[in-house]
Amino acid sequence: MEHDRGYRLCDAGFSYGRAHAGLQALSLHLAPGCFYGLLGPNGSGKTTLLDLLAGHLTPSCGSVLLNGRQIDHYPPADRARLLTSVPQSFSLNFDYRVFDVVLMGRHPHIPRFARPSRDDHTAVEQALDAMEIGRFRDRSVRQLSGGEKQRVMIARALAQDTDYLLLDEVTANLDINHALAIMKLLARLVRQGRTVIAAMHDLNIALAFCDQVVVLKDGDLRCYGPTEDIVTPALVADLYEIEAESYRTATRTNQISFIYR
Amino acid sequence: MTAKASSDHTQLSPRSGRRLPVRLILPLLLTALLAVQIVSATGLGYIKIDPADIVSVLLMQLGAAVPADLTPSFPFVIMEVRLPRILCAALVGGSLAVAGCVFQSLLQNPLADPYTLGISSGAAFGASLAILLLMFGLTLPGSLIIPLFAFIGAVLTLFVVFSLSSPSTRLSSNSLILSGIIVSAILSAGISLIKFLADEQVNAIIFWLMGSFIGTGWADVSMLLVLVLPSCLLIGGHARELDIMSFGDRTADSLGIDSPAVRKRLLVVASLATAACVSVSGIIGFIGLIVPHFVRMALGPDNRLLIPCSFLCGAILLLLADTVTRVMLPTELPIGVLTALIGGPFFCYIFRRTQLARWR
Repeated sequence: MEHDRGYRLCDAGFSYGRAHAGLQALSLHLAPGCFYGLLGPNGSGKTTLLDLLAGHLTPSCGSVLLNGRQIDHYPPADRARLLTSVPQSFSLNFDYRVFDVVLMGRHPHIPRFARPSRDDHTAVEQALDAMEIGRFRDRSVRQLSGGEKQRVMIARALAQDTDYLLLDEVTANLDINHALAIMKLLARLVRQGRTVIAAMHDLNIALAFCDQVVVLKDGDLRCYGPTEDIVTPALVADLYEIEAESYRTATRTNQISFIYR
Repeated sequence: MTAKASSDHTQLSPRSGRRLPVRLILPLLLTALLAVQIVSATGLGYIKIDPADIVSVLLMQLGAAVPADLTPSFPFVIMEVRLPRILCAALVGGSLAVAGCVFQSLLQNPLADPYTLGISSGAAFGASLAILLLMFGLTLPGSLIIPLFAFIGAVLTLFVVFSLSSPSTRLSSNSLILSGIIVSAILSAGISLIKFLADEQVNAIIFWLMGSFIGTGWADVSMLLVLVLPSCLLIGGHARELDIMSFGDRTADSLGIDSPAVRKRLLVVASLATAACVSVSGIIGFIGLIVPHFVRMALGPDNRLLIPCSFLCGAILLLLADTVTRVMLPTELPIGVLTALIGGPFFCYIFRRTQLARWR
């Protein structure tokens, strides 16, 4: 059943009601062990697609299969050991400590009345180190800056230790240093055999890190394929109606530069 | 970098090891305090009773021999008059505080309390209706019919509020709070109408609305035990889910929590416990709002500590208030008035102080 590994969407779509179609029915195969970028203008359906992949939304038509099994047929706890998602926004109403928030990522691994094990603590420490937030561990999450909060939430997902990571514009609030550090970490996770699916706006980051991209516009699947074949000045013109040119850097990465006039 | 990280690790893990016993020690201390308070409150009142006599009366219930020098009226005073009232006050205080805890976590709103969904108005409407019916010649014992009507009113209100907000798929906190406010407003108008109809008997309604433990008996205690204790245990068993759900549905979902189902389950359970409390004691404000609020300020938001400590602090506080009104004041004040009169300004003081501290 090797070919069933990964995500398979069969005519899956979602509608938020008559007035607003969230996502037109689309079919797509996302292979495991790959870094996927999810591109598209605001309101193109990236978050809706991620919600479908995460099982947060049930498709209004078609089906979403993960490793050959329909996503909403997984028991929630099993699903949480297989995939995790980091939302674009989250609510912080109470003063939880950073350490405790990251430890929440271990929830699916800890039986109801048990205490966190040594493995759980190790996973939390690794996640704190990876996001460089160890020095905030005893601070309240509400006292942190926007970017620091975002790193805590990513550390929470890392501690969950899942094969699939879905991220919704998680680097949008971060400075370029931390954004690149997180992308490098995700790329390393992918080399270890995990699958990352990340919605993003920065085309150059996508070009630098993503193996494949999926492009959405107006709730429609526009195109998908290897990043360098897809992310071109033509795509920029099509998506954003902006002129751009492409060039190759010394490190052999294609980059896009916009033409202002 | 790695060396620094690992030294951080070794330095800090003993601290997280030391934090854990608080989770055990604090609830045990509070439990001991509550036990001492129950015994001493039993001794206080019109007739003073020695703690030693109280203990021997309690041992008598377990089959111990009657001590020769015991005043014959003591067993009756303790077992039939004081103890049921004291236990009621403690149970009601505890479960209102736990319910407040749940509502604050689930509605992601530190200002939520057990009455946010309109349960108090529902209960008040039911009780007022019962008092009105008694006036118009319903021949059933009022001590039975008023709590029953209050409970039914509270449960019906809960049902209406849920069905009002449930089409918005995931029972969002905004739609729940809004439905609660709407239903409360309608019921308040209904209560005013009943008060108007009750005319000269309006005092009975007003007194019930203000809350009191006068005349509570073992029937009330057992009703509370049956409804309230399992609710609190179930809520305590969901402490970690409550922590996670305060971060929003997507986060909870990605950690394998079926948040709409858990939210519904816990709201129903907390509301049932509240309904049981209200039907026994009338409406007692502020306990369900300030106790979880203060415990959270003192101990942090971790629900595994917050829930048991809120229960114990709520029990201690309401029992204290009830003892004050029963023993110290010349005439018995309605306890709901007392909790609001003392709790309100105290809340203002603490709230203002933390606000100032935050901006300094």
